[in-house]
Amino acid sequence: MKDEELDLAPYRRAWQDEMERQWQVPPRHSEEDILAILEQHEERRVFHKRRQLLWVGGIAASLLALVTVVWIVWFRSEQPVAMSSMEAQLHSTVRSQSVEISVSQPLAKVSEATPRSVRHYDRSVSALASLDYADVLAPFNDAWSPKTFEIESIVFDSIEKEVVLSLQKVNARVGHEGRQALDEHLAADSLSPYGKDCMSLLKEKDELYVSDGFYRNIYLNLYGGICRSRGQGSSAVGLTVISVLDEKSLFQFYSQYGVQAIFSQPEICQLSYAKGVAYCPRCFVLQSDLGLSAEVPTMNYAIFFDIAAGYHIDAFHFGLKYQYMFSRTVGCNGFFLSVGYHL
Amino acid sequence: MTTKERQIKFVAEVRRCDPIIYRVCKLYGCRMDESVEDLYQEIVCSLWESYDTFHGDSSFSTWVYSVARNTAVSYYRRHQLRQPKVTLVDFDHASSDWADTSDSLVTELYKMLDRLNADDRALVGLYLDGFSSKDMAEYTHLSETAVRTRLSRIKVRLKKMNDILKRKGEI
Repeated sequence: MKDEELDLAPYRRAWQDEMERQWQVPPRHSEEDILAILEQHEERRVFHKRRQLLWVGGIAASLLALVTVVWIVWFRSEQPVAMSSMEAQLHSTVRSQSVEISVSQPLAKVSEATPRSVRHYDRSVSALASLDYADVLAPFNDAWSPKTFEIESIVFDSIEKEVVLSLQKVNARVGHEGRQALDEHLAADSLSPYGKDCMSLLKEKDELYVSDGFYRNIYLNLYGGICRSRGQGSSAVGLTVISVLDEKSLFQFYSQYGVQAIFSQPEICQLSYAKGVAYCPRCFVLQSDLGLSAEVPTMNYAIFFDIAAGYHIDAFHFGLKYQYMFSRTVGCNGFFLSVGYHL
Repeated sequence: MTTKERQIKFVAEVRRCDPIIYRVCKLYGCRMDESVEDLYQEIVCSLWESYDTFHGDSSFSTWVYSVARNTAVSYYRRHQLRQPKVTLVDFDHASSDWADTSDSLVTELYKMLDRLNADDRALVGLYLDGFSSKDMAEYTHLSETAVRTRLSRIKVRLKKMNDILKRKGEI
């Protein structure tokens, strides 16, 4: 049996009459109420627009930083030193006569030297500049010609690279062990006399232990990224000052002071203090820290934990970190890209 | 005309239409007063955002009603998953706050609508406003056949509700 339907036609007429009547009912909202609604709406609109811009800006900046890091870390580090045909010829000349000056073995490895390793030891280059390498050029006196400058450069460059390669071997072990390794290396006959001079000079100046930016005392670290804050997506930027406490061992201990702004809650910034430890196998850094964060102006507090990986190019540090913050109110976790500069 | 002047003019005009906006909120919106107020605010914001598109082709009140109804339908679509489903089992516990009309048929209608879920209430609302099946299908993203079938089922439920209410002497 078909269920009976309610005939809505009379209700429909009554409804439409009622709608007509409702026009006569006094308004429930005052002009002030409606103006307040519009004002709130405008505030929300501006807030959403600003948040959208921040998201877009944050994502664009993060992508740019990521591309830069990938380019520097992966692409450039893999590029061998490019030599022009003239340079190759001069290298060949040096190589053919190098037996006399005992640099043949290191020169054979010149092609292994990459811009990255050369840059790492840029400070050793300045140390080399103070050496008297006139004797090195003696075998080339016959060829002293308009090409003198290039030959000089190549020979100097060769010695520099010899030192770089030697430093790489020594620096595989740092600290006290590294010093012992250096002494052993200097005692061995694997270096040319000029290479030995360079190494000795570097040792005297203690350059071996400060040649990489990571070992310097303080660096500023600017980071930005995407996090989840109080259950909502957010973007954040922060600035930290990191002071390295132990700069001579394989593990570096440091203190970190920072400020972070969360854009979904523009009124809030977080001040933080952390102690951390980093492992530095010369160029790729792994670090983690544990710290306290205070929210301004509410002064809620949180405990946070970071784990990060980074890479150093000269005085610059590029990193990616994950942060987790334990707090009843602040609650923030997410991924951040960072760029640091060693002071 | 400056933005401030436009705003003042808009507020005065919207205020004249306040009762009808409120009524649309009640029909399409939610059962809770605060949700009705949320929807009212959303409608006012929609009206303000599209105020520039009003060129006087129809009366201001017709335009307000149209925007209010569209906003309310969108609102109900967004919030329909959060709506409590009211079935005949809940019938005795459902409350009615529609008693501000002098028309007994409308009072009856409100009491029944109050016991429908938001989906069904919106569909009945469109029907009461005189929309065709085609228009209702467009608003609800259903096919015309589905709209007709669903409306038919709602009418059956309303009939049962109506019988129960009559037996209880509530209408």
